[in-house]
Amino acid sequence: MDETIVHAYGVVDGNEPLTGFPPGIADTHVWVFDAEGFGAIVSRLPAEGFGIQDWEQNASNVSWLGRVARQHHEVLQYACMNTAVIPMRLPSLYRSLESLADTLHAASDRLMQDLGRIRGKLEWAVKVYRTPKEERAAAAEGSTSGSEYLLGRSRALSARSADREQLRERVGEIHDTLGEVSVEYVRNQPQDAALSGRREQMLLNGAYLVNRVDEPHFLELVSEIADGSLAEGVMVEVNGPWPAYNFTGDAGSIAAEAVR
Amino acid sequence: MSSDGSGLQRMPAGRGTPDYVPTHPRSDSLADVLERVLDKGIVIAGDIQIRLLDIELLTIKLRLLVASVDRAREMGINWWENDEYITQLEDEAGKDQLGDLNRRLEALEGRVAESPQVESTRVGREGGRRGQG
Repeated sequence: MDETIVHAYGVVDGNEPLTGFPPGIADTHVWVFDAEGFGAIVSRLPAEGFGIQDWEQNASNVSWLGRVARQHHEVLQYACMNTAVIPMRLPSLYRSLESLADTLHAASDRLMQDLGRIRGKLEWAVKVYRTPKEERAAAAEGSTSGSEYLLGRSRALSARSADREQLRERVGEIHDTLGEVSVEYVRNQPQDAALSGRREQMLLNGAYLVNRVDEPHFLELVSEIADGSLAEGVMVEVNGPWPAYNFTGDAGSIAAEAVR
Repeated sequence: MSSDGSGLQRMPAGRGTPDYVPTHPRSDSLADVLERVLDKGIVIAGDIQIRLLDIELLTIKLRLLVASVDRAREMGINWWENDEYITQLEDEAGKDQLGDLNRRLEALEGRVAESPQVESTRVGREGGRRGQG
């Protein structure tokens, strides 16, 4: 038999009869393993191709990592639409199901607490970008030569720089307004253009833990904000719901010394 | 861009919810996925320990930054802060670059005007310019 490594995607309540997962990493079969009162969402990865050295070698290989990250995420996405799930950070590898169970046992208080905290809630992402509106207008209108184009663009840039402070305040307001409808909320570092793949500057990269019953209200608010946003020079993007990645992180991290 | 005049980015619709709300994060938002699964979520130390993020930051050579910007800064990786593409819209330095580009462009235009046989080059450049705007 080929050697395997256990990968854990996340943790759910014990006795959670969740089935029908999408394929896991490397298209492996995903199931819920009953571990010390918790359900661990797991699959067995081939040790060949997913051993420590493979992860290390592929750590900056975006196509490898991207595929693995998506499969990890899709499993959690499926789970979160059906029950409360604590996502585990990628990668989360164990030599055996027994050692995973031991680990979860050592962390059980924390896990129980986190599961209770996120039950009935999911994460929404709201991003605000600066609209390069003036720039586009300047480029389109009457620039018959390259120098006129650049001059217009340069003027537009100066005007925008004057608005910068105002925009910053507005973005803070947006974040807090959305926070009022959320149980917890966090402002992440804006993604840089290389990561977001967008030319527009990201001003807000917010994550909001929202009660499922409050989702309509939350989205209504986003919509209202968006209605006035173009005049303010920004563009609002919402997506979700996500597993509560942003709300089970550092607070729920479990120290290495807990196990062996 | 949005089609309704508001600044809301419309996303694929689903399940009878308002059409700007996807019921599932778009699976093609790789940046969002990577940002979350590599840098968020619970860390439970297993018996096989791989701090992927750290290893990755030590070896990253790619233009695509697969990590939170904060972590990268802690590690002293900040190439994008000096990247023209990213900073040109922001900095005073950007204006200088524009001035410089402007001068170079004018010089090129002068040359193009003097040599009709390179007319096609000029057309090509203007096409590219419009596309960018």
